Amino acid sequence: MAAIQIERLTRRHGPVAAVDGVDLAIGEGEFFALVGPSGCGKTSLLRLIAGLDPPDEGRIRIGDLDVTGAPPWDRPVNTVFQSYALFPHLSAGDNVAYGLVRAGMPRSQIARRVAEMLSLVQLSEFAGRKPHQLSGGQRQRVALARALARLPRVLLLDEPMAALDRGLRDDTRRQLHALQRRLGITFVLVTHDQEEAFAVADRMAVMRAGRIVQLGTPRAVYEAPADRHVAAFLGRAALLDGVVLAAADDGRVVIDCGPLGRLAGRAVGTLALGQTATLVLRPEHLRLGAEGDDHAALPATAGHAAFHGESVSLGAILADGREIAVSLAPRAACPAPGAPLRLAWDPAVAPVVPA
Amino acid sequence: MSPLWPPGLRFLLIGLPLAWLAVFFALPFAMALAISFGAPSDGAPPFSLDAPGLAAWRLLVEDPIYADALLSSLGMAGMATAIAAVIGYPMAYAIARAPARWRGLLLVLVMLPFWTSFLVRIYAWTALLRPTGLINGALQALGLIEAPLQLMDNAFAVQLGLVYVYLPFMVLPLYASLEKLDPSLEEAAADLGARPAAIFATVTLPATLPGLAAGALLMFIPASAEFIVPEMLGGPDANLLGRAIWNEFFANRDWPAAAALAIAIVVLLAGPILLFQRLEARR
Repeated sequence: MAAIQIERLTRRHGPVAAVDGVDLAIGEGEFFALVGPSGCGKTSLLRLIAGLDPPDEGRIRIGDLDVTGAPPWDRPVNTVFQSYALFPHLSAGDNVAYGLVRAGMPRSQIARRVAEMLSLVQLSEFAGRKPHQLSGGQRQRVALARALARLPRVLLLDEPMAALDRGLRDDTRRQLHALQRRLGITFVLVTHDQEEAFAVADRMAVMRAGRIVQLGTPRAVYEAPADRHVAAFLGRAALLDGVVLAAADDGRVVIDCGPLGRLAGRAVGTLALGQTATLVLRPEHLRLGAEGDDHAALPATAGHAAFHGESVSLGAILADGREIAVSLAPRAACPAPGAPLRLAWDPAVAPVVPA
Repeated sequence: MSPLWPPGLRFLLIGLPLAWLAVFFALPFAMALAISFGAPSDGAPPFSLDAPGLAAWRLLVEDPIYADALLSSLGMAGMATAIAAVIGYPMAYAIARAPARWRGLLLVLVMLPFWTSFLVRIYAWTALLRPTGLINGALQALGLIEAPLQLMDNAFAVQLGLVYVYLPFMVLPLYASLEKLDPSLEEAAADLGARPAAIFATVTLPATLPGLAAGALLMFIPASAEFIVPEMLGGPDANLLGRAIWNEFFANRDWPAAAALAIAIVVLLAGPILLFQRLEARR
């Protein structure tokens, strides 16, 4: 049985539909991510699931319980808010205990559960601290422990790592993933950061304008973005627009990119001849080809190279003046700025998507 | 203070407010304190400091009329403050949660009464409340009452006047702290199983307690020494502090007693102010 079953869910803000007829089923114990640029409706959808806003149309079921009209306090769902929303006048321990007190749990049991939850997020020594005496990362973990304390059927996380700095974010991501595996609770994570979704999610939904435009495992979405917008949202890809010239049965397509020439890739879905399409070239797909390379190739001029430690990102300037990134091994010979290049890639890994 | 400020300007910036306080607070306070140790006399000024003593202070302690005035003033002010809190909290909450484009207008409406003279507004209340006033007239015309209700010259009218006059002092600090309150705190409480009444009691109210305390003090302090409201609405029997001071000063021409009474209220009110500052500093 699905943990969350959503049917034709719609939420309007005036004439605009923040969530527009969404159908979605999230499995029991799944780590699910809702991703998309800001304003795409992912947080609105999360708020509908939490019961913080009422839907205009559609149904929401959690397990076999129809919660469509239920207030937030009657849903087997808890939320980690983006601002954490810790109660400023309560200690970390009392924050975690809050939901248990409301549920009428006996005192001794509350104390045990709070201790358990705080140790789960490694904050046992901080039970007595007020939120303003905690660091950002600690506050985030208190919010997590507070939301998990009631052992909800579904945990909703609204951009839980947006306020953390980068190093802490990687760590927190790993801990979150391990925690979800250990507890087996269904997690629904809202994020604008596709890397975050890739790192933790079993499946993800990419949203745009209130609708889900692609649903699948992070790998499937990354390798075969449904359209140009999804490709643009997922990572630092160069998007080369053209017209389909040839499409083979095995998925190979050639598109005419005007001044950039004819470029080959692998069709996502079916592309008709003459249709506009976009070749998605990711930095890791590209290598510096030799003259006479029979793979697809694109002439370019070397630009600035940025050293990232584990790799070097070389800017390559195309014939139309735009710069695209090429990922090189850190020890690879780096062409001097201005040197002519031939960018090569394996057409089987470079997706061509509908524009 | 930044070293960018020239020393002369720096001195001026600190010196001016200090001078203001010295001239308009410390000096009159010291004079009142001195007068309170004097004795009334028939000359001008109507007191003498030839034989300083505690006569005025003794009077204050021994004559129950003063303790009575003090207690009923504090009681009146406390009651009015409590009523204003009950009325003002929902007002402040509604304004803080109103759409942003409405908030400015609603706040102006709260402060609008200040644009009219205090005295005129209280006088207008007498036109509403007196036996031949608008309210009694309307009720009689509608046949709801036979004889006019006694709406004025009693404790009810004083309470009404105090609440009416000082409500904005309660609403504004409450609004400030409610507006700062992150709405997701209330959402988090609901998400964690709290129903609306529990959300208010466990999250909204505790988180806005400093605003409530500020509003209560801003209202309680002037209300406890209020003169015009009891004078105009309280009738001749209202024995309140403001009137007691007035009477000693003008009717009895007993300046030492008036001064002692004025000092006593300042000292008494300093207690809650210091307590409030302690609480604020601890946060």
